Amino acid sequence: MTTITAGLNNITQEIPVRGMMANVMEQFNSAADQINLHPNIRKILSITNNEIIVNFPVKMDNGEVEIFTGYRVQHNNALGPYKGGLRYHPTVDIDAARALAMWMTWKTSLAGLPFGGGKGGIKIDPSKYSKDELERITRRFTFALADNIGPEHDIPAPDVNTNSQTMAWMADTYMSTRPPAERTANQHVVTGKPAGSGGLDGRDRSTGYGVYLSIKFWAEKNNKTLEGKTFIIQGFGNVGYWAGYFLEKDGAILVGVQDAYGSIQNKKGIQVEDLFKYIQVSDGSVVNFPNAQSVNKDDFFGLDCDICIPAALGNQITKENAPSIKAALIAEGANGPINVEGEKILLERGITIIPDILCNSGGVVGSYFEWLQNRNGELWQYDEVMGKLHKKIKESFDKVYEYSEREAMDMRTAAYCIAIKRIEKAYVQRGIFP
Amino acid sequence: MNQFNICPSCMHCSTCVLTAQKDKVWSCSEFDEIKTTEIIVETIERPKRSLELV
Repeated sequence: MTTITAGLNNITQEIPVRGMMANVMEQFNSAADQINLHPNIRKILSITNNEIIVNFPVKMDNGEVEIFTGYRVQHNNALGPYKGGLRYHPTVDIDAARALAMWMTWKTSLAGLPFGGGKGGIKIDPSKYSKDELERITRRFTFALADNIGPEHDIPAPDVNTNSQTMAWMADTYMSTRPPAERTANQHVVTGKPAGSGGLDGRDRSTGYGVYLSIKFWAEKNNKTLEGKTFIIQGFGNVGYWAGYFLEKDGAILVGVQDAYGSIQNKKGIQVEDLFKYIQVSDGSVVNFPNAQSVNKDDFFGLDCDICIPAALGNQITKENAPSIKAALIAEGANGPINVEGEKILLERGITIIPDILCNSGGVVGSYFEWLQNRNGELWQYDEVMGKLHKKIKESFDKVYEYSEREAMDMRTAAYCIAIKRIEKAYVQRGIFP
Repeated sequence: MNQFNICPSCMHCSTCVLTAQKDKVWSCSEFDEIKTTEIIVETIERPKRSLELV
C-alpha cells in the first residue's frame, strides 16, 4: 500500500492510496493462499526480476534535442522470455509497468505459453509529435534498450498508442544492430508486426476469436448450443466486433451494443456486419443505427440477453448494476471489467464469469504464433492459425473449468491457481541457482 | 501518486458514456488518441559552424 503524506495546518496525515500494484498483489496473494504456495516462490513472484529505465536523446524536426524516459519491467521468466506490451503515454511509470508486467506473467502461464511477463513504454504524449519524430523516438528507445530486449529474452508487443508500425520500426532497428548474418534471424524480437513484415495472418481477430471460443466451450460443457442465444457487447472495437462476428456465425443473436457514443438495442437482432459497415460512415459511432433503438447508458447491462460481453474497459460491472444483469454468462473481453463488489453479487446470483486472463488470452496466443512463425522461418496460413488457436484456447478453458468444478471455486480463482502453480512447478523442478 | 489513466488523451473523453471514472482507466477498446491536426515545425536559425584545426 502506497501512502501520500499531506500537510494540513501543520498536521501530517497519512492517506492510503490504492495503486494498481496493490490490486494485482491482492489477486496474487489470494490465489497463493488457496494453493498454499511455497513461501520462497511467493517471495520470488512478489517482486520483479529487472526494471530498466533509460533516458535517451532524440532530434526533433525543428533541430532541437529532447530527452525521453523509457521503461521496461521484466517480472518473471521462469517459463520463458519476458512478453508484454509497450505503451506511449504521459502516465507511463514504473509502478504501473510493474503491475501490468506481473499480470502478463499470470496470463502467459495460464495460456500454457513458454513466456514470462513484461511491460513498459515511454512517458510521452504522442499527439504532440510528428510521425517522423515518433519513428526516431521509437528507434532510439530500441537502441537504448539494447540487449535488454531480444527474441529469446524479452519480446515487446503493441499497447496503448503503439501499433504494427511501431513494432516494424523496432524490429528493423534491433535487426540493424546485429551482425549482418544474424539480422534476419532476429525478426521475432517483437510481435504485432504488419502482415508484410513478419506479422501473422489472423492476428487482428485472435483476441475476439478467443472470446467467442471461451463462450462456445462453456456452452458445450453445459450442453447448450449458441443457436438462438442472445448477447450484448460493450465496446465495438477490435475485440467486440470479432467476438460478435464469430458468435453470429454460430447462430447467436446480437441484441445490444454500447460504445463511447451511446447504446443501442434491437430484441430481434442487430446484424454484426451491417453495424460494422455503419460505423465506418458514422465516425465510428453506433448511435442512430437504423435497425435499432437507443438505450439509456445506465440500463445497458440490464438488457435481456443470455450472454454479456464487456469488451471495452475496466470497472464496468459494479454493485450498482450487477443486481440488474439478466445474462447467465459474462465473458470478460476487456481487462478487469467487473470490480470486486460486482463480482461478489454476480457469483451469489449464480452467474458464471469467464475471467479476463482466460477469455481474452487469444491475443497473446496469437503473438506466440507470430513469434513461432518468425523463429521457424515459416509463413502460416489463416486456417492453420485459427485451428491452432482453437486447440490452445480449448486446452486452457478445459483446465480452468475442470479445476473450478473439482475445487468448487469460481473460474477466476481457478485460473490464477493454475497460472501460479505452473510457475511454482518450474521453480521446484529447476531449483534456485546456485 | 501517478496512476495509469488514458482518458485525458482520448478524443472521446468529454462525451464518452462508458464510464464516469475517467481517472482510473488504463485500457479501453474505444481509446482513440487525440490527433493534432497540424504539426508546426519551427525552423530555427542557427549560426553557421566551421571546423577549426587547433
